[in-house]
Amino acid sequence: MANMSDQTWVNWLLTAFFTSSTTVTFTPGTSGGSARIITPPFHLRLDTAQGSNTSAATEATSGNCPGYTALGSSLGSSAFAAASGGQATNNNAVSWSATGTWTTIPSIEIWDTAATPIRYLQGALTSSITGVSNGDTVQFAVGSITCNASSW
Amino acid sequence: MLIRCKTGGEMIDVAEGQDPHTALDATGCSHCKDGHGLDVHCGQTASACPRTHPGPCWNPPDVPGRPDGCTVCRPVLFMGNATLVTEVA
Repeated sequence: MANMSDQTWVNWLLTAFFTSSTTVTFTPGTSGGSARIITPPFHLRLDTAQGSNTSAATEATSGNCPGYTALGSSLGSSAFAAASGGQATNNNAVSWSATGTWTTIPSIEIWDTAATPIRYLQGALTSSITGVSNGDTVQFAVGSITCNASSW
Repeated sequence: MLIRCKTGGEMIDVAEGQDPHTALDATGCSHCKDGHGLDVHCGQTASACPRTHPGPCWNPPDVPGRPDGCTVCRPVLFMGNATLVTEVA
């Protein structure tokens, strides 16, 4: 059933998840399990094979994508702008400078930076990044990553 | 993808696999139009810029995997873009 949630509430949740610059703790009620802690800053990770909603992707490495560092790069403080219409976009640009030839990047993931990082978002790029070689720049501009929760 | 000649000039948007020179008009490349010496990739003078011949730049294709086969337009800027749709299981 589409649009079953109040959009104002969805916006609030998205904003609560992805705009804080400090740790956020959600404590569920009885039988809700242990508290969930979100630990910013969020990192943007590049994949060489896309994951799914239940399993993580194969992350790029400094070996197959020279210039990339495992665990990705920070999306900055307030990773995303305040949500509107059930959607939020990244607040800061992220870029890498390639120092060699890269394997194709078909998808990305967004993780926090807890001691054991937690994965929050994953998905395919609009177009795979392919053909990167030494001296090139791979960049995600401000607003280039959209988190769409409008179907909640 | 957006590319810029390594000697300067404006950013231009070139479709993957397309010769960047065909995306420029004769005055679109500051390297070639200014006549400031040898072209960095073919060794020709600026007045003999590869813009004067059709097809991709092939000399020297030192990075043969490049979609445009060209080495003059460096660095290449790859812009990532994604919409991550969250779903409720």
